[in-house]
Amino acid sequence: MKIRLIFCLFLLFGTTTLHAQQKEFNISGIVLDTATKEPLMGVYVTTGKEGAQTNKKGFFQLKNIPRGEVTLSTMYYSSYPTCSKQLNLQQDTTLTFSITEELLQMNELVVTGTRTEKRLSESPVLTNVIRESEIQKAAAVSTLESLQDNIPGIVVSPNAMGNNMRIKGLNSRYILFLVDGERMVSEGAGGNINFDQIDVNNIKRIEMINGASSALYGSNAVGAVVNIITKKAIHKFEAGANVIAESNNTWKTKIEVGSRLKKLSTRFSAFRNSSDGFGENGGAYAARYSDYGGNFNLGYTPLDRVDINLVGRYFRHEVFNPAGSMNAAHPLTQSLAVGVNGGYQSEDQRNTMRLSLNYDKFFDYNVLEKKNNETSTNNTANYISSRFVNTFIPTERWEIVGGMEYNHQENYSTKTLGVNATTKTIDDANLFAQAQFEILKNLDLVAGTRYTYNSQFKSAFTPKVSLMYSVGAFKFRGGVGSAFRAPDIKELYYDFDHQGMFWIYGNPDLKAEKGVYSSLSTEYTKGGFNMSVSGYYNSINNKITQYDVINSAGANEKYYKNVSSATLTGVDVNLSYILFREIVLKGNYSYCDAKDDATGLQLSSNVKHSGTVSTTWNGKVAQSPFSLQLSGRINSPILYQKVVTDDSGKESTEITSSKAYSIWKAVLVKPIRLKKHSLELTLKVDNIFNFKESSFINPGRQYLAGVRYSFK
Amino acid sequence: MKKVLLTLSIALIALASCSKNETTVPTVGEVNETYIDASSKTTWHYYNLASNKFIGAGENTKAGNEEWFARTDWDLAINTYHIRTNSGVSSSTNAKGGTYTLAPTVTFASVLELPAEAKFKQDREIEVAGMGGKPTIYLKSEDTVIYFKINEETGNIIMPPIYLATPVYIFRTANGKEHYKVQFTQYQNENKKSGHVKFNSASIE
Repeated sequence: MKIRLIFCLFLLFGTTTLHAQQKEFNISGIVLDTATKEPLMGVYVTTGKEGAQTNKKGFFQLKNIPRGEVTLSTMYYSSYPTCSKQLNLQQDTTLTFSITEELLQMNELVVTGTRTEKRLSESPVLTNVIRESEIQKAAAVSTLESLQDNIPGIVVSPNAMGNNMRIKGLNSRYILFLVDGERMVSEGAGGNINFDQIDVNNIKRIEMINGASSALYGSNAVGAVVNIITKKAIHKFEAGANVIAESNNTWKTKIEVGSRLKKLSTRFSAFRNSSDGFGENGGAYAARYSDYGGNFNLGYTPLDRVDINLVGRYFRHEVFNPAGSMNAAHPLTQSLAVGVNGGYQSEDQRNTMRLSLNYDKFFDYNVLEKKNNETSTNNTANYISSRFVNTFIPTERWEIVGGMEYNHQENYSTKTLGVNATTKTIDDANLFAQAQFEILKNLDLVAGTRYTYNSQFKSAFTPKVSLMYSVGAFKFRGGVGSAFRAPDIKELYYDFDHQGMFWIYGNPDLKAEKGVYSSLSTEYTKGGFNMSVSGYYNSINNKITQYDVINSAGANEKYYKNVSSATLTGVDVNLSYILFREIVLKGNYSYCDAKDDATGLQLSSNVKHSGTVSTTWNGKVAQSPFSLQLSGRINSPILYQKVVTDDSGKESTEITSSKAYSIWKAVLVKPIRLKKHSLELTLKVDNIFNFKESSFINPGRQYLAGVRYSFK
Repeated sequence: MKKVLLTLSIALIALASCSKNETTVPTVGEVNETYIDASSKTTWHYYNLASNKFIGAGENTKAGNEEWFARTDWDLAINTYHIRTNSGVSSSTNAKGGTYTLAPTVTFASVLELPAEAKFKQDREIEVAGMGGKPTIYLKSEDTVIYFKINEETGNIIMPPIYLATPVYIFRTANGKEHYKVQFTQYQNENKKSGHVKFNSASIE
């Protein structure tokens, strides 16, 4: 595959004079923009110790650099990747750096489809990527906002139980959320995950795969896989801080520090977010909250082919009661994730092995306000995952990924798993293998399978096969994959008396839900234009549904069984286009018919037509860049359709829907660089047209001002 | 000069209010705070407003109810978040109890007398939705111990519920002669257990 965008060109013109006696030399040169050939002002060129910033003509000069090996790196704005070059300095030297902005990168590396690094353009599975620079230019203040900016059809109905997110009518139980390839523990009702535990400023990129497209993942990868890749240190020393102020007295602050040395790299960040919420005196309501969190990673590379990493993440989320509330308690949750992983590559580079162990624990407490804020535990959930993966490349045309995984899930609850405090567990053991074979130069086949043995429902076998064919600027991908969703501990073991108002009972005999996902896609990439069209058919069987039984006392008891099935049929269109180098247009459109097969109704909260659009102007004033973005999320009405049973047992259909959505935001980002220091000022107006709707818990138009400082 | 006038007029107003106070301010009885563990769904706790006492409890059965509905010595009864007044379907003696609900903005302290427009609601058969189950018929007042915060844009109760102090209720006693202002101020105890009810009451004219 020819790499179409070249980011870093390096030209070296040696002068002819030999300076055998000299110990120090000068390095000078210019820095140009690859795309426009214009000189770039303000680029900091550094050896690590010495540095100089380019002038209006893009010229820099470093004087008296000691003879010998020198690594020169460029530092510009965050959307321009660092360009580095090593040289053996034996004379005065003139260089030209040619760098370009990371606008549309088809040669960037993605990992989700194959658990090995693949160029995005060569990934056998159609992968959508949200990049750090895009998150920054959209001034997304949360991980959820960056997902909403880029994935059409996300519906969230936040309350104190969580975001209650659904994508195309499927809740979080049908989407596998990973952080650096490790599953995030779902916390509560509907498999909710609080994405605020992932600091959006700590995200390098987000990779998304639709449907059951990879054999390498287990339960939940029925609707999609979303893999959040976090930042690692890239400079010898780096540090930064952000402050964001938003409407409703919302503050988001963060500090980070990192270092990459020859064998050791580490990065630590901590954040605090708080908000007064809104609607205490009317309108839509969201509670006041206070969050703290941190991320940590430590990498050690004792040898070129060996690496060991330690990662950690902590998050604390406290939601307060409004003034005048009689509630005796307010909720507090904490989550903690720690992991260790290591890799080894054989000398011939044909075998790469990785071992990992991860532990993720979620705590849900009540803070008893009348007892000096003493905490009492409601629930805890933990997930331990251990995995061995081996990537074997026997010949250039083969790549085989195989491995095994063991997971242990443990939930503790003081009241939902029985009258008394109860702990329940589920274990699963997995074997998986996926092979990629280059049948012809332009034709790749990927076939894989996963076998799961679950302590509850026993066995699941999920094979997948896909083909990728490249011709010219086109790529065609097609495949059929199967996936499953294991019933969760609540669905299996619920034994919950909800204050005598209703009862929920789990069903330990539940089977896994099965999904079969077929898709066909075309991708076209030429210059700054990329477009993909993908059609899919996702059939989910054995779907677990809650049903009601009226007991002899007339009270409501809720049970679970594998009764229903659903069929999702749809088309996704993704488009990005760089116009005259300075304007970037991006758009997604998604059509989805998400049908409950038994009733013929749409799955609750499905949105048939949805899209996201953005126009970003990466302009310059007096050679100093800025970005101005206008972006929107547009949905057809959210559909709420269900069958209701009246007193006499007669069934009828209840159909309601929201208004159509159209929510827009405008963001101005102005970066300023002074040598190793970079400052980014952000102004944002969110929900510009003050869209309000009863299903959309939002305070209306909001304003944001932010400052981001970094030192490298 | 202006200052002197101002001081004088303030003094006059103060005097005027004083003299008014002496003649027309209604007598509000002592405010009593009462607590009851009414968490059992099957038990009603019966209260006499004049003596500020729970005088007994009865099962929520036909026999239990009939026994208490025949009595006239109680004015208020509580079962979890449900309340009864000695009136309508909760009385077999045609007792004259009942409630009148003031606007949520009216504070407990500001209620000094029975508003002229007060109309009292009698207990009746009320269907309580069983959260998806078969609705249960309760013989009770339409007022309750709990008052939910609602999303004012949708009119829906915010979930999970946020309990607010109830509006001030005016209770008429079983004999129909006395009136008490009552406001429920607690539904959960310090351990977040529901049905642990606190209320303030005071007699008004």
